[in-house]
Parts: sequence; C-alpha cells; structure tokens
Amino acid sequence: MPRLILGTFQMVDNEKILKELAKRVELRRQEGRYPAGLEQQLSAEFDAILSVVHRGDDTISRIHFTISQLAEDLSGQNGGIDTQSRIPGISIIHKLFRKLSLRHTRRALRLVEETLTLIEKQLLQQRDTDSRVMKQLEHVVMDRILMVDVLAEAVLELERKAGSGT
Amino acid sequence: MRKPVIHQVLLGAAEGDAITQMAFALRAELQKFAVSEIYALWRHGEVMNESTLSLADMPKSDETDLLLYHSSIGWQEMTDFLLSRTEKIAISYHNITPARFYEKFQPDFAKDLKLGRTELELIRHKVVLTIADSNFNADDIKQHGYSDVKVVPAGFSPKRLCEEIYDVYLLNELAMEFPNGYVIAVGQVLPHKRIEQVIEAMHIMNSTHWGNIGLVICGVARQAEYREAINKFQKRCAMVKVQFPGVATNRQLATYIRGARAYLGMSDHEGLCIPPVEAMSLGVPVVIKGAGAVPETMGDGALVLPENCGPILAAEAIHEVLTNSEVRWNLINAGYQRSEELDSRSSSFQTAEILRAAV
Repeated sequence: MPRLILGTFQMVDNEKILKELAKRVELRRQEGRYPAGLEQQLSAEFDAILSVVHRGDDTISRIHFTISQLAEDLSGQNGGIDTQSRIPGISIIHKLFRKLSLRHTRRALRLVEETLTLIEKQLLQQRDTDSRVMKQLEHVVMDRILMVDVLAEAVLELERKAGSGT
Repeated sequence: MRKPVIHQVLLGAAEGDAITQMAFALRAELQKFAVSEIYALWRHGEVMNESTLSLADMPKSDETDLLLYHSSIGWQEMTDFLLSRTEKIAISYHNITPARFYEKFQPDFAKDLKLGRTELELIRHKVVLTIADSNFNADDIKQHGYSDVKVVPAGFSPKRLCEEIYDVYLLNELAMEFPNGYVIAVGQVLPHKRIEQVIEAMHIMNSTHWGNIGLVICGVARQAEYREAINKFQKRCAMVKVQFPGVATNRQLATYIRGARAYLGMSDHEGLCIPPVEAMSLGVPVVIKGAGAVPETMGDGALVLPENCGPILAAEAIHEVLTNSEVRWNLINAGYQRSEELDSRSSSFQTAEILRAAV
C-alpha cells in the first residue's frame, strides 16, 4: 500500500476556510450570482415534487386493501365473523346469528365493495391522466428553466466582462 | 475446554450495508476464539444467503453464551425474538434515525424507527453489555436508560477498500461520462441523507463556476418514492449530470471513490458515518456537513461544514477543494492520516475482547 504522505502538509484550519467561504458567499450574493431565496426555492421545489410523488398512492393502496378484505370476507364461509366461544353450546347460537346477519348485510357489503372498486378505478385513471399531464408540463417547464438559467449566466458573464473592461 | 458461543443478530444483511460489513469484520475476529455466526431476519441476495444464516435457524438459548444484537431500527418480530431469549444479550448501537425525518411522507417507516427506540427500552433488562460506535451514539442510547456504554466502533475497518484493485473498465466508462471529473457521495438514498442537497450544491457550483463537474451517488435506494422524487428533481438541477450506480461491489465502490475528485456529504443525521472515512483512506478530499457524529468521526481529516449549512456554502466549499491546490493537498493528507488513526484503533479486536470478557 503506497503511502500518500510524501512531504510536509498543514492541518486543515476548518474555521479559517469556513470564514473565507462565508465571505465569498456574501460577496456573490451582493453580485447577484446567488439570487436571494435560491436555497429556499430549490428546497420548496423538491418538497413539492416529493408531495406529488406521495399524494394519492397511500389512499389508493388503502382502498385496494379494504376491497381485498371485503372480498375475502364475502367469499369466506363465515363472512369474517368469528363464531367460536369458550362457553359450551354458545357456538351454535353464534353460528345462527352469523347466518342471520350475513343474510341481511351481504348485499350491503357487495354494494360497498362495488363502490370502492369504482372509486379505485376512477382514482387510478385520474392518476394516469395526472401523470401524463405532469410529464408534458415538466418537459416544457424544465426547458424554460434551463433557458432562463443559461441566459442569466450569459448576462452575468457579460456584466463581469463589462465591469473588468475586457 | 469448550469454546464460547457468541453469535451476532442483524435485522437485515445486505451487501454494501455498513452494519453488515462491520458484523463480518467482527465475526472474523470472534471466530479466532469462539463459535460465531451471523443470523439475520432478512438476507438480501445470494452472497448474504451463503455468508449468513437465517434467524429461524438460531440455536436454542442454552446452546449460546452471548448474543450480540446490532440495533439500528425496530421490527416487532425481532423484538419478540429478543424477548424470548434467555441467554446474555449484548447490544451494538449504531443509532436509530429520529422518526421526525419520516413522519410527514413515510409514516410507516417512522413507526418502525419509533419501535426501534421502544425496543431498546423493552430489552434493556436483558442486556449485559452495551457498545456504541461513537460518543454521539453513546449519548443517544443513554437517553433510553442504558449506562456504562463502551464506545468502540465494533468491526469498523476504515481501510477495507484499500486492498481492492481498480476496475479499469469502470474507470474508463467514468472518464468518458465525466470528462471534467466528478464528485462522489456514498450512502443509502434516504431522505435524511439529503441527497437532494448534494444535487443542489453541485448544480449551484456548476452554474456559478462553469465547472461541468459530474456527480456519482453510490448507494441503494431503500424508498421508491424518495428515489422517484430525486429522479424528477435531477431534471430541475440540469447543470449537473448525475449517475446512480445502485448496488456496487467493493471493487466497484473502491473504483468509484478513487476516481472521484472529491467526496461530498450533506446528511442531516449520522451515528458514525463510514463512507467519507473510506474516501479519506483512498486519498479523496472530503467536504461534509457536520451533523450528528460527523465532526467526531472526521476529526481534522475533512472540511466539516456547519450543521445548518445549505447547498450554497457546500458549493463554494467543493469549488475551493477542487481548485485550491494547497487546501486540496492538505485535506488529502489530513484525511489519510485520520483514516490511519481510526484504523490503528483496531476496533474489531477490541470489541471481540470486550465480548469475550462478557461471556
């Protein structure tokens, strides 16, 4: 393993370098090379992207989960109702009640399942549409931002040249 | 005389994962005098299936003298497992990221992080030995009622990548992709690592100084939504070309780091922070935000930025390191010296001895 330390070197004076860098940042802010609020703007843009990425997905998956649970209960023999009892003989009463309640609620559960399925379908369609529109918008906006960035840099460069008289 | 039986327990074992690497280094040291294996609840990939064992196959408590549990997140199944054990338990605390970083967008993940802290309190009465890999982590675990915490980076080998040979094909590809060179960031692509700030900093630097320096972000993306957001954000920060290699072998990782002109870290929370030390050991200057244990780990070996620093200051710092040859040279040497210092502490051996004494 070759050693890197070949000659003399000074320990890094963190504080000194940071002071110098802070001064430079301030100077560039005054020159307009770091526009006011640049960091906040970038951070806000990222947060906006993150919230779009997250928005809706959780709701859709929750609806999907509920539908699958409903379907499972409806297709099962007991409709999701536990009929076991620790008291001897009471299981039979539970089973009777289960039959009765299923008879009255099965149709309502089916309707809930169908409604949720429709909502899920609608949300998925909406998400696809949003995604397509967002992609188109993103493309256009990014192009414009890039153009503005390049133009701004070109203007600054010209100003610098004009300032130094070259 | 019977050999002591000291096993390590991980929630997940994955290639490229820092805690898994530490467990491997420690196992090699433990196996010199004990029967020692690594058991994990989840084993990712073929390599892990071959080199670690499933938690389901863990021998009974009366066949084991000591379990070393690596704590970094919570999972109910693991908590139940630990509570069911009757042998001595030692804990190696690598820090649990505060849940606040994830509450807004990943509430489920935030719940696991909170559970990790609850787990620390639930298993405390069973723990006979507590090890933290930094003073920062020691202070953190003490808040959960632990005392007499030994600070030693268990299994941390800062120079583990030094022996890796270059992948010349990869180096060639990188040279073609980034003709003006690139800056590297290594770590999992997770929100608290603030990958977006790394991209912002490089975008600002290239916009301000016309550097056209690339960026390589080497690490696994653990959360699809965050990765997707980063992907979209990349387009906004068009002044920097970014490459995400994903999972990398040690040889690839060593090549990516060696080929970089500087290392940049903007994480908001670190319990130890290994990758920049590996970069130092390979002669790459490091610029990093001083969050969590970072100042303690970096020592004088890196340009440590204030904890609240934004991408503008980071951009200026990177520009300084790339263009000021005196600062660059001093930083490379200081970093190299720091990695030597950390390596000389030989933490695997020290940790193995502490564990042997606890049996």
